[in-house]
Amino acid sequence: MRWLQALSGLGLFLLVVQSAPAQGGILFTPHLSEYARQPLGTYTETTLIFSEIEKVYDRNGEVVELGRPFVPAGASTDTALALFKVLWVGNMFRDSGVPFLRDHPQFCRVITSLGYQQNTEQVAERGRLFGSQPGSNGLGDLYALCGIYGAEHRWGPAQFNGLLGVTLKEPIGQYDPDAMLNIGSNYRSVIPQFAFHANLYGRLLIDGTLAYQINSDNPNPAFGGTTPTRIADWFNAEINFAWKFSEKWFADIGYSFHKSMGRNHYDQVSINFKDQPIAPDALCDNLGLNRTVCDTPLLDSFYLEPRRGPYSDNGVSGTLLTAGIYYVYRSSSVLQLRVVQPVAGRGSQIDVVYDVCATSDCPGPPTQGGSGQNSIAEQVATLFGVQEAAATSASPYLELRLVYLFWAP
Amino acid sequence: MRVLWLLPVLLLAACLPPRERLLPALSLPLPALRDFPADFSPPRSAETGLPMPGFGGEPGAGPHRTPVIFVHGSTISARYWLPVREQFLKAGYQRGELWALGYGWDSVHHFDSNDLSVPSLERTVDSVMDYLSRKRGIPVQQVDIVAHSLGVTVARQWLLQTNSYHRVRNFIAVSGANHGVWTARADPRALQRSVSWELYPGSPWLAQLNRAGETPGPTRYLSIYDGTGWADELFPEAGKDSSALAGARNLPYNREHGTWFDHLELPLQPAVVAQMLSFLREVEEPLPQAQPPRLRRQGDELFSDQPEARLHCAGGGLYPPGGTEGRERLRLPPGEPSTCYAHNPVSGLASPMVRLQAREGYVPAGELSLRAEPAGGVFEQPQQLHLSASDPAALIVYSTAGVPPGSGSPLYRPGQPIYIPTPVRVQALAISPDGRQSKPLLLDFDISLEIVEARNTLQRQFDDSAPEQYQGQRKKGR
Repeated sequence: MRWLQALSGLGLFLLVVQSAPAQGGILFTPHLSEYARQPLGTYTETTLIFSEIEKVYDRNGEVVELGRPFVPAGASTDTALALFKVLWVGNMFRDSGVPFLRDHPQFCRVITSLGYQQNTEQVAERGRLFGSQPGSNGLGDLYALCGIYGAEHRWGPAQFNGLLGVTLKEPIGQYDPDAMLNIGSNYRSVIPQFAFHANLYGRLLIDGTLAYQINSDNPNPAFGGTTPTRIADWFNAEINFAWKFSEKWFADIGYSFHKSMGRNHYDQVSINFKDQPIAPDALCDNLGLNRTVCDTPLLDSFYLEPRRGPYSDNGVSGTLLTAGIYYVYRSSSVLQLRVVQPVAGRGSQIDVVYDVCATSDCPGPPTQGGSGQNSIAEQVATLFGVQEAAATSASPYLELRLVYLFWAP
Repeated sequence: MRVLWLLPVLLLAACLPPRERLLPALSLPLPALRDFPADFSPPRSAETGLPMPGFGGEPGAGPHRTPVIFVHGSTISARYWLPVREQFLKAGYQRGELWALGYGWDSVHHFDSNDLSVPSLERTVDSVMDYLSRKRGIPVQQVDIVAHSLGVTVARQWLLQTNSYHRVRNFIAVSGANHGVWTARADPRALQRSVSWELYPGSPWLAQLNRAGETPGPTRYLSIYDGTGWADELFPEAGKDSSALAGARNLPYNREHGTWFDHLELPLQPAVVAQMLSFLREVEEPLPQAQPPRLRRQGDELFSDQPEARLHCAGGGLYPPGGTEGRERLRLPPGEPSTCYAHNPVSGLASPMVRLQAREGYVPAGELSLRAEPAGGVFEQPQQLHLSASDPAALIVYSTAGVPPGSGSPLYRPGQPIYIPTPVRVQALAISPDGRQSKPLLLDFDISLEIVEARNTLQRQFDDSAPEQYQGQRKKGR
């Protein structure tokens, strides 16, 4: 039925929005000498990330415009994220009797963020049909990372060191199950990581990492259950090449890839129109359905109810290319401007079954076949999953970063 | 949200003081490298007030080599030299001949500074020489010094301010900022500003260090550094030869060998250590009973008490460099003071540097006294200290190392005020050509970051008359 196709369309532009760049910018987009053995000390870092998400990837890897054709071109989700990082590098065990650790510096990093996400007007208006709030702002999740540096090795002009680390993500961020957008994720992650830094000829700096992200469940999914409840683990890989032009100027290009290791599962899908029964005229006016469909007597009024699931997607992935320039100011500060461009990806989509009823008790008492007694039809709507675990932005984002070492000249 | 308490805890943890302060304050033992003989008491660090960490050893059976003292760079400690000690041991050195004591804070929370670290190095050299003299039963006259990075300028300032050239047989400098380092600034802020004022390219402090000669006295100098402008991040193209010392054997190692060792790697490389060992072996060890020559004066004639010793003198405020032909006897020229030492090329031992003036034609001009402007105090910015003697013919010498100055101490010259970027005690002395000395002048300078903060409190920005709450207890940037 066309109205369900329209629902799918509505779902499309409502549900694709989310802060995919947030996750990418927090952990796995590499920077200059990110994994080098830094001088012992405490570093602070502030990163501002801006993105206007106009395009996303669907489950086939195709780029889809937000909300088209139901909203005019240019609709977007505008995202601003401020990351605050504190990095400590030291050796708690130096000069102690603890073997291995006394010779290998350790590091810990804490990351939190403040986020702002807002849909453009047309998107926000249509979101209200589903009773959702159009935007959100607040504190992001807390990331705590600790690890240990490996020894430095040199082969001719190449210097190399590795590191092992584990990141814990604690979901302290703003999270409203009724919101269309959320800064926090509402699930924990544990991310063991191997990384390396290499320096060639003192001028080419290479940083890379491999990480496996173990995600916990989200028992309270947002926006009508269109965030996954059982979240697939992720594989992350990145590599960055930086060129040193002088002691003050650097430029880099990077490659970042993530892929879910399996499917995301949705167990609590409940997304539905807030006001029911739904008048065909209103539906046609809002969604641009063919009038002949809306004028059918069968559609005088109806109720919709999604089946809760479980549903599974085909997994998600994303590939980013980055390019940036760095300016080192007075050896205490690093200013960086970077553009991140998604080049491939796959978003999460699920085929949700809706029961169509003529009464408000939809679908009614269950029948032997599985659908309710009051269900007069069932239709499948393809919906996008939301949030970082499911959505994959196809829009570029801009990153402005300042690293400051308190005690340096 | 219950884990929000983690945030302030983690932030507080990041702001904790260095463990050199924290653990003693909690009455907890401070883990430190203490590989010393049981009967050696390491001196206390001038910075932390704690016994210096490091390594050394009991002297083995003779013959004994000149002991080597390793001096580390900024924000690290003596443990840095452990791999080099291993290589020296493999080359035949004994543990009792290899010493390193950690000056400074061992933390980037507190950048080390040259002037503030000189007293620690003075205590290090004194304690090692005293200990080995006691254990060997014969006086240890000289040491060799191997220094890296900030340790190079610390050691050079120590040599200058304590007039210790006769005590150092060989000085090996690796990657020192002898002519500045790009990361230091003339207008530094925050805790590192002392060392930044000292080491920015073109700084008056470096001019003071280099003015009288970059390789004074009988000491032999080897400077090893990157030289490519790329491998050592502290010395890029514009300053790639900053470490070179005029008059030294300069070895831009990476440039000459096509290698890429960085700032911290270079001194640890076996091939670089081999260069050090080769340099040290070029000179014979003095016989155990050898004594340093003494400089004698008869009227304006100079000679040594050892016939084979040679005299080296320089005028114009310069120190006489080594490696030149000395003379058996010398006559002091009238006017300018001469800086001289006697060196015995057979034993390799030398007299302390002295500064002498011809007495011929000198007419005393009353009681000798010394004046200073400014006469010490608490300041936000580095100070230019002007000294003047009541007798214009008198020479003025000074020291910032906490030791009384002698005639061989740095020479104050009119028009070249003493640049004081760090909290130090300046001790100055005027010496007339006939040998009379003024009463020593003691000037305490506190170039304090806290005074900056005390003068710029929010309250004082609204009310100029609000008192400065400066307690005179400088803690930051020490």
